Amino acid sequence: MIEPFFFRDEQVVGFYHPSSDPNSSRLLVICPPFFDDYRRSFRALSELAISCADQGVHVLRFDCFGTGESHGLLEEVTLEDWKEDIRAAIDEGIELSGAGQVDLLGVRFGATLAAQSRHSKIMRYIFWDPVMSGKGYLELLNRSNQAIELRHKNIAKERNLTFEKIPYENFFLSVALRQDISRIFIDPNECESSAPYFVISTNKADRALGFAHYEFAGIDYDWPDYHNGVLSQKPVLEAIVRRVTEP
Amino acid sequence: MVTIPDDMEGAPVVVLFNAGLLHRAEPYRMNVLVSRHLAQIGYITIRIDLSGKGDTPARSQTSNRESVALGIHQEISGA
Repeated sequence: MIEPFFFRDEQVVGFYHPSSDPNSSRLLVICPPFFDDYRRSFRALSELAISCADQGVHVLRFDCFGTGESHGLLEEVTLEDWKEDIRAAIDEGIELSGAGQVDLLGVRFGATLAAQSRHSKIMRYIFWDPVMSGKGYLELLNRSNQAIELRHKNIAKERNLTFEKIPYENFFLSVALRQDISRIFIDPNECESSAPYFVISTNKADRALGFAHYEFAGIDYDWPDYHNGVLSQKPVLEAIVRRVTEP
Repeated sequence: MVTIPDDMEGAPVVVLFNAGLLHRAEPYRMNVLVSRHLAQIGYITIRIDLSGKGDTPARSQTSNRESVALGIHQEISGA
């Protein structure tokens, strides 16, 4: 069962999956990824939420302000809005479920934001293929824009069409938001002063990032090179469910 | 997901389905933004995840094409 609702002055949409055990004290809050990553992983995160709820964990998914089915437009968002959305989502999830322990799952740039969030009820942070640096992420988004432009240029050339020179911006971000994004990052050692970080990764090289708790999910996935389609990475989802449902 | 205008009386209904495999909001939130604009000019809009897409589980014992056709029929009948 999924219960959609709006919170934060009715601006932010949430999707609550109550646990099969109504007395469960555990809540998973999912900070979704953004942009192409959001589109491609929506189904996977829906399946993940259903699976965790079936196995006794309350789950709250939400869309940050200006994204998905929440209100607002991307061009009017601030990074502080998104960080406040996470804090509010945790509070809403606790109120709906009565849970006393929260696992905060961040996916890609959702993990970067989750790592900035502190809440007394967070027991663990779980990061799926975390974006370590906002600055690096912006470079990746720029490369995506360039890849799309090149693709269109090549199609025009193949078909002998005039290539219209227009700005290729897959997702429009304000200057202020870009500046804020460029300043945030994940410090693997920072968890010493908060709840522990657990990383589930599709990139073996991420082991070198220095997280104390790292798990390679068993499959490789190259996020930056795919801009379309939908993914449902069963081994990753299984690894997250194992982590979330362990005692 | 339903988007409603201020005045619901006699309002026509628009049903928006998935674009390919994408969930009901996409692509690029187009269905969300279209729904909200339509609400401003008096339409009720329903955004649907067909079977096996977005938040809707896949139907068992039907092919994808049969399942999608059944879903569209049910949603339009229900609207």
